[in-house]
Formats: sequence, structure tokens, C-alpha cells
Amino acid sequence: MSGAATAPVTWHRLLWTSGVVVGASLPHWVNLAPWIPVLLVACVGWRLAAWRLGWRLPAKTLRIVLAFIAFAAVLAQYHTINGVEAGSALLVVMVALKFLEARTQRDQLVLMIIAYFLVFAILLDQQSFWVAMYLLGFVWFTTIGLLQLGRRDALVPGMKTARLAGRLLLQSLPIMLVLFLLFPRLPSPLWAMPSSGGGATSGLSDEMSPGDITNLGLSDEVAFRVEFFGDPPRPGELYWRGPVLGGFNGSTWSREAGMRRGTFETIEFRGDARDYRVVLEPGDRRWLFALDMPREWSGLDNMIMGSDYQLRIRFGGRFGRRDSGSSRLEYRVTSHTSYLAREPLNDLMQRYYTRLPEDTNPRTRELVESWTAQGLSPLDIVEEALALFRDEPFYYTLSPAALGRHTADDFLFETREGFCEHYASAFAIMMRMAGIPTRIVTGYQGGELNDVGEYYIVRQSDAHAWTEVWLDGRGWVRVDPTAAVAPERIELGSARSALGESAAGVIRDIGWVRRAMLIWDAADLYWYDWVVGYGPTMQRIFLSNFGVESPQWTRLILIAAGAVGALLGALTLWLAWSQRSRGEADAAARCFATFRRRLARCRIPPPASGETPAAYGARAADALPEAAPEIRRIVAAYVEARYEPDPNGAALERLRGLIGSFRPSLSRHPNAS
Amino acid sequence: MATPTLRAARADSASQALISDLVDALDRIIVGKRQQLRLAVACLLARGHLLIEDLPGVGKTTLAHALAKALGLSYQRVQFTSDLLPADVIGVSVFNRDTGRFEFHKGPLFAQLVLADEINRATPKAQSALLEAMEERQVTADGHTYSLPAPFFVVGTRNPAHQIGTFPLPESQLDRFLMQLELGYPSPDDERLLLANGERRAMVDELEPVLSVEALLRLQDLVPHVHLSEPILDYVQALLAHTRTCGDFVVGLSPRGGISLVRAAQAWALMEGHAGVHPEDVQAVFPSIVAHRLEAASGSSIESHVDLGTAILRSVALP
Repeated sequence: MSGAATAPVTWHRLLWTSGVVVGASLPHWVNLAPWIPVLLVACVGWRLAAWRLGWRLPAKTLRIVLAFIAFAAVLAQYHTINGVEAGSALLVVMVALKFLEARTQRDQLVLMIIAYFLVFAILLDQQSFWVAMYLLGFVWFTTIGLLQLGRRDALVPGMKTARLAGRLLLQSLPIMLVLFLLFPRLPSPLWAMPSSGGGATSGLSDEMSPGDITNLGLSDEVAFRVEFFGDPPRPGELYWRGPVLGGFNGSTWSREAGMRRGTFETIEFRGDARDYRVVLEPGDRRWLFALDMPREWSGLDNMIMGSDYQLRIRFGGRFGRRDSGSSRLEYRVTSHTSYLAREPLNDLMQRYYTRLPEDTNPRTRELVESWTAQGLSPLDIVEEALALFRDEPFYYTLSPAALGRHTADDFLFETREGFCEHYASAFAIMMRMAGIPTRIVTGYQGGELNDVGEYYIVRQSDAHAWTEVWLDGRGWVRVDPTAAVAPERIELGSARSALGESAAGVIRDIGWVRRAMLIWDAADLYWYDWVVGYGPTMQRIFLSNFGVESPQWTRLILIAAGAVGALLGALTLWLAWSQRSRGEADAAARCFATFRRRLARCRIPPPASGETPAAYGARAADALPEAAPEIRRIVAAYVEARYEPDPNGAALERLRGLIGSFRPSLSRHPNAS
Repeated sequence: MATPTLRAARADSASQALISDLVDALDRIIVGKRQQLRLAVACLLARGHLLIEDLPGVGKTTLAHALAKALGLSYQRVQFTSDLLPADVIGVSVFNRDTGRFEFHKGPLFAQLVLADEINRATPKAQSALLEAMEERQVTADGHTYSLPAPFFVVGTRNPAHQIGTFPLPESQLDRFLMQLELGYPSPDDERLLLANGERRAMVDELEPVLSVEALLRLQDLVPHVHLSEPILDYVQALLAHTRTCGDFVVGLSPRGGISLVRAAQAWALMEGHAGVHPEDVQAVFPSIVAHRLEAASGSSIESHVDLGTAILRSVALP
């Protein structure tokens, strides 16, 4: 029990290790099965109790059994030990068990190193600004712990070590930057990362029944963020197009089955072009939201526009495959909020967009037939229906009464309360009854302007449904019946209309909370743009500034290694140079260092702090009586060469001669010490 | 160091012998205090003033008087009391009826060696009159400036501050003294010798000058020319830096304190016959330089039985 490595742990060291291990596993807790954090805390608690209260640590056999049980439990929980979740679970479990047998300082150091690994594993799952800040703080904390643990003697005050650890991390900053900029970025990961998949991600679906969007409206989650290059449109023009629903079975609207060739050449773009980029949150990837009406788009592979003007990614020839990736997607779009979509509809499509189930909603049919009997044009019928919503006592509420089988009848004549999807659905039914081709468009409307970063945040609570009617000669025209009932929902957005009130929304309305959240959101977006978003494309652009065009990843590794090597080399040279410049001035001191080394071999301890050369020489002369005269001469020559005027270097020359021939030996002085 | 220096000075062997004789002569009177006597002489050679802090009756006055006699200097003693006025020290203008003019009667300060006894018993006003004269080496009274003689050496004594009826000297004024020494009780053998030989005063009176004033002035002129090598300056800087950064002291050494250290070390090197200042020279004078300039901070790690200077020397490595 002499070396530092086998030194038994002390209470403070144990506390450091506990803090580091728990802290490293903390970000994983949300992803882990609940029993795993419990196991970790229990193991840490047991170890601490073993120290404080004298509990017994488990015996070796018990530990082995526990390890096997834990392994089996992870396997049973996740059915694999591969992948991010099962891998981190296994790591946390094994760290917990390792903690039980952390008896020596070496064990604790091992735990600390594992803690670095464990905490970085969270990056496989999350790369947000939050996580990065936590990692930064935690790496510092762990480094402090490592420094404290590595000390032979008592711990020093935390602040002192904290400064040292901070300095160490800052010194590693240049290497970090070089690796960040140069380490090969691959378009796809080297290994397929099995992720949880099918998690509870909220988003728009390809069906709509009453109630669906209400649930979304209660969610404060961010759907996507939009930054306009140039003036943003008015809030009332912010219709972010999502799934278009044309099929109706009486209660549920659904997407068109099968695919149709789109006719985009008939779209006539008017007014100013709006240029913007969209950063889509991780999660449901079926829809790429864009402002009505997109003209150009770029930024992602396989972006296409569907026949219903909806942007999406084509996966292997199929539309709308579900891909809940863990990273954000970014793309650029140019849209015109003013347009005419003069798509000609053939008879088949005319029938499809006017199809309704038979014998439903008789009262509505009666009303609509009264309009058609008057010989009103389709446009007049649209106006008539909107006037109905506007003039009759309809209410916009997120908690409407339930509707029966005849949804439109119940809604239009009985309950008269609801939200976007009720209005859109009832309106579409009326239009179809009048023989006007109509479809429902779901998506998001509005968005919150983050004036900190000058971009819009569109949340799930901004989800919206509106309709498009096809008018002869004008094509598809957007009609938003909700705007007729609750214009403030459209002009102010859901967050400020006080209609979409949720608990989180209420808290967000407190001035400084709102401000802080906006600043935080902006920081997160910048983080994404400049750090997480530094992928293969940005790296290629960055490197092309230095004349490196589309390099292979092997070449990138060479460049990175070269840059790190150059950094370290420059550091070494600088250190050597600063040492050399000091040594040059003190040739005498270097001679004396040789003298000390030779004496050290004869077991003469080096000069103590504050011990003068003369005192040291006297001590050495006492210990080595046979070499004493020589030692005295050397010390005298050294003092003369170093401290007295020596214009022609005679004393230094003499010192060099004396040192050159000075070979004290211990063997001749067996009783020297 | 291969830098040629023309300012290098070294006491010739005759002067060195004289210094040695001087210390021997003093040693016969102040028994068993050779180190303190050598420091006192070094202080004198460095043109500094000496502060002795000790209990009454350990030989402070005798030391001052013996020093004056051995060097053939004019000697005055001023007993500082709480009612002492600046004029009592500096001198006073008196109207002469015969000439019809004021004449300045020089005070005791105009001696070459002034013993200012128990200076912390006087009021700050009288203290500062003395201390200003020490610094300026001249006195201004009634618009006339009078130079003080050369050499001019003040030996101040003070009682330990905890004694009743003392006015503590401010740090800025303490700095005017180059060194502070403690004499302390003699060892049993030495004390026995003292007791046997009785009265010191007669011995002091019989003392013949060992060193002429001219020789003393010449040695004083040599002190600033003793060679200072770069490593020694590094060492002095390291010592100064340590007092400022180690946190053991209320205030670290000032640059003036550093100059004092260098000057005292040069004087010591001259006495040792070194051609340049050796680390030992710095170490020899260091405790007496810092004794009155540093005050251990509360919570300092320096153990109470070690004096501050020695503690610092132990913790600063030689460059």
C-alpha cells in the first residue's frame, strides 16, 4: 500500500467520483428505463454508506452474479445491446456496478475516464445547445475531479484546481478547433445507428378527424424555424402548407391514395418572391413545410413537390416514408404568397374532389340546395357560406362539444362551436354539396417572430387546417373559414390570440420569461447553424478557401493530423526556444546542473529551496570527504563565474574544466552517508 | 556572466582588515553579538540608518556609543519622550542681542552619529522631524537649509510596541531605517563575562578610533559599485515577488525595500571581500531588512517561532 495507484480512497475522493459518475449519466436518464438510474443511485449510495456507516461491500462472487443479472436485464429490456439506447444503458449499468468495487485510487481514475466516455455518448442522441453547455461544464468538473484524485496528498481548495483545470482545457482549445474544422465529415454515418424509431413524435398526420389538431394545439413543441432573407410576409400570409386531404368518408378526411403527375406549369407566380430557409426539428420527416406557393427549393437531396403543391422528400421512389431522424433538416425555398394555381381538373378529379357519402347531413344539403336553386355562381356560394360563419353566432374554441354522425349538420345548426378543423370540414362539405371541387389543407399558420435572432418559430400549437376550392378559370383558391369566425387567430397567431391558451402558453406570456426563452431559442439556432450544422458541405466550402477542393476523407485525416502535429511542434519549438534563451545566459548554471546530477548519483540530495551553492557544496563535501577539495574548488569557481564579474570568461572556463573531470563515485565511500 | 563591468568594486585587504578590527573592538564591549555588530557596520557602510528593537538594558545605547567612539564620530543622544518637540531635535533660532539677529543653535541632530533612544515614546510630530532629516540628510529651519554632517548615521531604538506609552511608527517612516536588529539577551557564558567585567561605560570611553572618517567615507562610496550579477537580481526579485504573492503578509516589500536589500547586500559583500554579491550576502542581510517592513497576516502559514526573513528564504529557490 505504498504507491499512489493502490492508495485507499478517502471520503472526499469518493464524493468526487460519485458526483462525476452521477453527473455523467444524468443526460441519459430521460432515455433510460427507470430501473437503471435507480440502480446507479443505489450503488453509489451503497458505496458511500460502506464508507460512512461501515456497511459491507458485496463480495466478489455476488458482484459477478450482479453483473450477469444486470446484463441480462438490459438485454431483456432492449432486446439488443447494440444501438444508442441499449449501449448507453449497458454502460450506465456497468459503471454502477464498477462503483461498488472502486476500492483504490486507480479504480476511481478508471471511473473518471469512463465518465468522459459516458457523457460524450449523449451526443449520439442529442446535439442541442443545452447538451453542449452541460458537456462543457461537466468536462471541466470531471477534469477538476481527475486532478484532485491524481494528487498524492490532501485535496487542495476547489477554486485553485478549478482554475488549473480551466487552464488545461483552454490550452487544448486550439487542437479541438483544428479537429472540429478538419476531421472528416461524412454525409452518412460510418455505422448505421439503430435508433428508437416510432417514438411519440407529434406532427401532422395524413388523416384528419375532429380533435386531431386540438391535441397538437396543446403542444408547445417547436415544429420548425424559418429565417427570411429579406422582408417577411404579413402574418396573415404565413400559411405553411402541409398534407393536403382530398378523400372524405363522412367523418375523416384523408390524403389522396395513389399518385398523380403534378401540373406545375400552370401556376402563375405574382408579387414579390420570398426567400427563406427552414430548419425542421427532428422527428416526423414526411412533410417539408413551405409557404404557399413554393417556386424553387434546394438544400436537401430528393426534394420534390407533390401534385397537391406539397414539398416532401422522395425516398427510394416512394413518397413520404417515415424517417424520424435525430438531427434537424435544413432547406431553402423561394415562395410567392401571391399566385394563381390554374390547374385544369379532368372529370375524374372533379368527381374525386366533390365526392361525399350519400345520405349524410340532410339539413346542410337542404341549405346548400337552396343556394344553388337561386342560381348562385360558385364564388357567390363561397361568399354565402363564409357569411354564414361570420353572421351566425359561431364560436372559436378548443374544447367544443362532440359531434354526431352528421358532423356538418350538428356543427352548423346545433353546437356552432369549434376550431379550424370543424370550420374547414363543414365548409368543405358545403362546397362539395354545391358541386365545387374542394380539399382540406393542413399545415401551420403564423409563427412567433423571435426578434433576437430575426426568425420565426413555428410550434405545434400553430397547426391549422384550411380549405382550397377549385374555381373555373382561377384554379385552386385558398379559403380559410376560420378567418371568418376568428380573424385574430390568423392575424395574431395562435400564441397571442389567447384562444390557443395552454399552461405553457400562459407562462410564456410573462414578459421576461418570454424574452429569456426567445434568447435561448436564438442561441440554440445559432449553435445549430455554426456547430452542429458544420457538415460535409460546410467543410468543403471552408477547405476550398485554402485551395483544398473536394478532398477524400483519408486526405482530410492526414491534413488534421498534420495540423495537430504542426501545433504541437510549434509548441515544442517555442518551449525549447524559451528554455534555450534562458540557458544561454547562464552557462555557469548549466555546468552546475551537471555537477548536481553527478552528486545526485552519489545520493547527495539536490539543494533545498533557499540553499545557496556554498551551503550545498559544504554539505556534499561533508558527505564525500575524498571529493571534498574538488567540490570546494568547483563551488568557488561556480560562485565566481556566476556572481562575480568575469569579463573574459576565465572563471567559467575553469568551472567547465573542473566539472569535465569531476566524477565522484559512491563505491569508494561506502560509509559516506 | 561574461558581461564586463567597470563598476565592480572590492575592498582592498587593508580596508577589510580595518573593518574586521572594528567589529573585533565592538565585540569586546557588546559580548557575543558578532552577527548583529557586523550587520550594524554593514548598515553604516550602506549609508542606512539602524533601528534596534529590544527591551531596555540589553546594550542598545552602549552599541551606539561604542560605534561612535570606534569610528571617531561625533556623538549625540536624544532621549525621545512624549513631550519632546521637533526643535529639541533639530535646533532652535535664538535672538542674539549683540548682533541683533536670530542665530540658529544646532540641535543634537547635527552630530555624525545620533542615538535616537526610544523613538516610539515621542509624539508623531517629533518622530517625523527626525525621520525627515534622516531621509533628506539636511534640516530646514527659519527658511535656511542646513546640511547634516557626513557621515550621518542614526541609530534609533524602540521598545516593543506592546509596552505602555508608545506611539507606533507608521510603516512609511519605518522604511527610512535600512535595517532593524534585535540584540536579545546574552548567552549564559557571555552574561557571566558581562557581570564579571562590570561597567561598560569605562570601556567605551577608553575605545580608540579604529577607522578614520575618511576611510569610512571611502568604503561607503565603494558599496554601490559592488558587482550585481543577473542571477542575484533574479533572486532579489523572486524574494520580493514572494512577499507580495504568497499571502502570508499584510503588504509585500516595496521597490524601496528591494533597493535597500540590494544596497545592504552590497555592503555585506564588501565586508566579506567578495568581488560580487553572493547569494549568502543577500541571505545574511535579508532578515534584518524585512524585520520592520513586513507584518505577518492573520492566518499566515509562518510558524511563530521562525522569524519572517528566515521563513521567506526557506521558501524561495535560488534562480
